[in-house]
Amino acid sequence: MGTMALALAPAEAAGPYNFFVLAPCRVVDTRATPGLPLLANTLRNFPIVGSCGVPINATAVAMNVTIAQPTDFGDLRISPAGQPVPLASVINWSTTHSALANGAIIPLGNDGLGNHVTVQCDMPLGSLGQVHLIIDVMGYFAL
Amino acid sequence: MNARGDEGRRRAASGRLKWAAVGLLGLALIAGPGTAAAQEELVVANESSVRVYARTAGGNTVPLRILEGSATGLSRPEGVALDLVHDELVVANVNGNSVTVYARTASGNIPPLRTLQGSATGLGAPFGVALDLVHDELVVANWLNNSITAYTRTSNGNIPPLRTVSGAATTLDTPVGVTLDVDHDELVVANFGGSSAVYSVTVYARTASGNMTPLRRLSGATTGLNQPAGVAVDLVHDELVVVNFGGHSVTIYARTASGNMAPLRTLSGASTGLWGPAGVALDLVHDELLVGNEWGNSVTVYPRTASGNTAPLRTLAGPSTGLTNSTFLTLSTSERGKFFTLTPCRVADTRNPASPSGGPALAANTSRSFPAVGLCGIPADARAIAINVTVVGETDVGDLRLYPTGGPVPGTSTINFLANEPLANNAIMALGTGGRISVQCDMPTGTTHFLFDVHGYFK
Repeated sequence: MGTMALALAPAEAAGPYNFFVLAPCRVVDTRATPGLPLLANTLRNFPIVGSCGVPINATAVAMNVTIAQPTDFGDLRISPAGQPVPLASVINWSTTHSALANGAIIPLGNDGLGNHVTVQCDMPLGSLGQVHLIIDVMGYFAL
Repeated sequence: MNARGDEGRRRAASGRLKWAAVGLLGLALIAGPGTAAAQEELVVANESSVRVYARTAGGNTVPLRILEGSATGLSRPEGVALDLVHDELVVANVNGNSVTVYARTASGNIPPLRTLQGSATGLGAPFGVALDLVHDELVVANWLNNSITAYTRTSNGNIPPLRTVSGAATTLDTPVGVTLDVDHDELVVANFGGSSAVYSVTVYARTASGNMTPLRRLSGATTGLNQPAGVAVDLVHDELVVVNFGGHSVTIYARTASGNMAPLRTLSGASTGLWGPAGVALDLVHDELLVGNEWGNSVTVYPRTASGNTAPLRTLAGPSTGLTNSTFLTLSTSERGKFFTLTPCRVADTRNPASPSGGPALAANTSRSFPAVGLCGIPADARAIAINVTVVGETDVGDLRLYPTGGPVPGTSTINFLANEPLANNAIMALGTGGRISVQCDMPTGTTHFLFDVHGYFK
């Protein structure tokens, strides 16, 4: 039990890691064809490693998270895939925003299916809303 | 060894350059802001081609790409440098008396994008080449002219140098390897000693011009220098790395070593596989030292701190590699940066009177670059800055795309905004040409004010 909990725990206090610069590059865009927006109160995983020059040994990425065309207000929680979604949001928006962005540094995980970050889309209970997600990377952290 | 140098000069004078006889070097390591696809490759200058391998290639491995053929303008390529900001490959051609520039991923028999060549250039058997992306310059070591020449990076054709270092006081003698130390604003040259058989590494101010005495000169029997060819500066460990063609050795010194100073470490001996070593590349990301062996037709790779008669970690050689008289090399790795804090400071604000860091407001569908290096304590060797971007007074909806100056306008955005809504966002942004960042303003029409504050940098 104790071992299990340790194995699943986020890599707290891991590091120190070095920062590696990348040319800005779009790694996720749910508006792209075939596009599927994030749906209210659902969770979705995305691959990051292997795209935009983010190598397999990357432990975290410096990203800009943009939301677009929200149909309800809400927030996104973005966290390492394969680990419990924490109570920590990356971006909050209202429906007056057609698009809004926030910079973030997000550790990477692995859900066993080739995905590295988990995105939890929080909207009001019972909402049928949706929102598009765009993630641009500017660099990564690694040993 | 002296005889070899003399012979090299004689052959050159008679128009029969046989570089196996003079050796040189081809491995320079240039790491810069990495582009999405530019990771982890090794570029090696050969007898008549430039060959690209995976960084980790060893054994008898086929290259990923080969640049070769009459259209390329390659003529005994030696110095190679990668420009990851502009995605280009720069090659110094000793026999061609030219510097040719290609798309980084160029392959086959394709012509250069630019060729620096002609009597006005002052090129004289250009051997080593180094890029200065901070000042947008190209620096060349001219083997036959005993000179170092600096050009605007984008020079094309018969263009005179911006500066020439030459003359008796410089003590330049058959300069082969050249590298830039942007941290200390210095130019470091390996002198092969072809005419005097006096081997040295000389250091000048980056902007030196004319018949200048070196700031430092490393020379003498204790140094172990013997036909030094490739040279690299390790700013992380404050060391100077020299490859000795005649000595079949790599000698490592304190960065500021001068006079007849002994090396901190010497890598030599039969187990090392060093054989007519010419070029060197330092890989500070993976803590490795790569050497191009002209006589060995090989690239040998060691732990960065290797000394004595140490066997390589891996050796790239064999018929499939196509390595022939392999000399200088360069690596693309993403550069490792550490974070340095700054007191939060406003770098630019377009609400201020018109100036490079002030007004006017950004106009719809235009791009503008802003200086960053030199402001708010951002040093010349910073690779990226941690900033807070603010828009205010937007007359319409839109977004801003920030990117390293000189690079392509990316399909990424930094901030999205509505009209008349002050809004801010954090970003980490790589620095481009001249230590600047550019902003593309995407709006239907109108203008927005833009400001950015810095709170740290990576280097």
